[in-house]
Amino acid sequence: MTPDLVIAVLAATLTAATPLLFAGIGELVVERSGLLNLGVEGMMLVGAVTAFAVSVATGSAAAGIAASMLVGAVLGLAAAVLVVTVRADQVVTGLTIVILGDGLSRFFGQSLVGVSGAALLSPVPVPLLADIPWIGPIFFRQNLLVYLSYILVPAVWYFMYRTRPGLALRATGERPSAADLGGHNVFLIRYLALAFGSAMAGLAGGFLALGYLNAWVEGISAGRGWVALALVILAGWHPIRLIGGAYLFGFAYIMAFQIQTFGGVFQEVSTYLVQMFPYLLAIVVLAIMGRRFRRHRVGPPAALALPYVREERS
Amino acid sequence: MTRAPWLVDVAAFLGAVALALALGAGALLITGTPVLPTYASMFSGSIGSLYGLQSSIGFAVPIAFCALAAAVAFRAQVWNIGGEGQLLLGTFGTTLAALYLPVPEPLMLPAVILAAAAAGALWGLLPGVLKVWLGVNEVLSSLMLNYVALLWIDFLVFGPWKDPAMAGWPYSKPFPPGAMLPQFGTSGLNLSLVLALGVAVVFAVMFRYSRWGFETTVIGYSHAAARYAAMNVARKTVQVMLISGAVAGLAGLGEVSGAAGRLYHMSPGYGYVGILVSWLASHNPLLIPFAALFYGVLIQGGSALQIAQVDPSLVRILQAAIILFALAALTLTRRYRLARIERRAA
Repeated sequence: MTPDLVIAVLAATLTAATPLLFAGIGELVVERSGLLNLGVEGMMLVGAVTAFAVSVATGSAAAGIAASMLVGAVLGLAAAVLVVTVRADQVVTGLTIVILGDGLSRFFGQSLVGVSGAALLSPVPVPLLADIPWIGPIFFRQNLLVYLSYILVPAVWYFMYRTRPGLALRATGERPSAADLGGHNVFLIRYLALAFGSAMAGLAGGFLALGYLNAWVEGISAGRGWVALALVILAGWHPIRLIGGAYLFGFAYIMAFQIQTFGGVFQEVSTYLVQMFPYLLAIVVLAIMGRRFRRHRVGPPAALALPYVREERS
Repeated sequence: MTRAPWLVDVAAFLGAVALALALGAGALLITGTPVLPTYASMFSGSIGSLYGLQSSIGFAVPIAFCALAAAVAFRAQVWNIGGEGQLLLGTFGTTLAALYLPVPEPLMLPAVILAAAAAGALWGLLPGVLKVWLGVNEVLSSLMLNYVALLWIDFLVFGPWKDPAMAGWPYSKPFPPGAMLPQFGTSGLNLSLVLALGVAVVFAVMFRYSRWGFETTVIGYSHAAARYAAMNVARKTVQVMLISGAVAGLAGLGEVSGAAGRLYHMSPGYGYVGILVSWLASHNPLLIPFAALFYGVLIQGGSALQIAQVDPSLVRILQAAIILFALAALTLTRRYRLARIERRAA
């Protein structure tokens, strides 16, 4: 492998990992508030179609991305009414949102299939840093949203572990009655967390359409929403540990995409078998981490997927 | 109202359907489609004619299998979201037996039925074993396996199992006649309808009267309680996943041995829909056929709309809206019923 190819693969890995990182960090915040959002995949689809449609209509990629986050947040608030206020089953709600998002994105995306002319997210080299050998072309010749992902994860970590609202968020996910007693509004915190997580899922979809695949394709997310859910578990619900997982899976997607171009034996492998790689990898990594987590007693937030009822003691 | 609490549920459910249809009417108006003729053709295409009703039942059968598969798992609080992949493996098992198993023709039918169930069970066993041995979250492993199954079927029909006679089309070779499910006249319905109803009755009896069903229900309520009662939660989890996978595999049987008679690329989504249907039926095996029929009517109504040039994705949106409203309505009625009982007890 030539250095150029290595650089190209690693730079592509970062791009492929960015939507996973967005959706993953959003879901991580949601789960730390004690909610389980299985609807990520559907929210990504709606975000992608929205971003693409708005970008085509306005000629502005920024407007498309903003719209994808807005639509995600609106879906998240609707889901919050169901799971926080009505206390509906979170697994069923999430799966229904996936079906809803799939239907909505197909309905509104019908006239956009094969359309070109959307304003896309173009790479913006960072002055000076982009010229560092190896590091520059891999990390600093990306689009602005990739740079945002570099900042977002540490920012979420800082929020969760160094601020009082972050403490309230974690308390809500572990023991909502204690958070309530401490004067925090459990319901408001969960609404906000789900709105944030869903906006991030929408953003991930917008990134797929405008910064990675550069088109609207039906079912564009192709399971990435579910991979993001797996990443949260792999990270042990800790934001910093999400980074490694996201890049690993970004690499897996690029390999599944690129491996046949390496020639030789790889050329003979069926593309359908190669595409299984990220999903099988997820299961294998979950299995490896499962043992580790048992040993180190890492687990989900204690109140995950349990609705909070004020008048009941827990 | 006190005498027939189920009436409240039915009323809440119908209210949810009405609300979703009203919202759908709004969406139709925005797209400039006339509302009443659209709903009328959806109705007449699904339950308004014998043909429509038969097709609705045809759609309901695989959904009922997947819902029964979900019910047995969810009752034990084992979150098997892999019905779709287990269904696909069922189609693989059926095809493997139909095309490559050297059995005499009279034994072919039992062979394909068993092969479908066995292949589905294998795909259910994997997440079960991974959960029990390695602590892998079954929601995610079963889900990831859906994508693997989908790619596996595509690999076969685009690759080694492709019928050279079907130039360019991703189909396997046709099944021998013995591997096809017996049809009921010209109704388009076949043996899988009887199998689905049979599984529903067996599950109902199992949960009501057998020790196994009782233990599964206890595990569903509390793992700790089950352990104190010396029940083997790990073994039960694996058994539940095996049974759940086998039943979802039977959904795949009808998809290939019912009418097509070949393996082909498919992604029907019944595995996911089955989970929603099972929840609608409170995971009650005897209610599942009715809930599945309701969803079958929705799907058949949707295909009737397609003939009327209405966007099929609109129907998916309508389906999701109905489920979301029903979810809210039934969650509330079930909770208030519980509150009433508690008040009376207090």
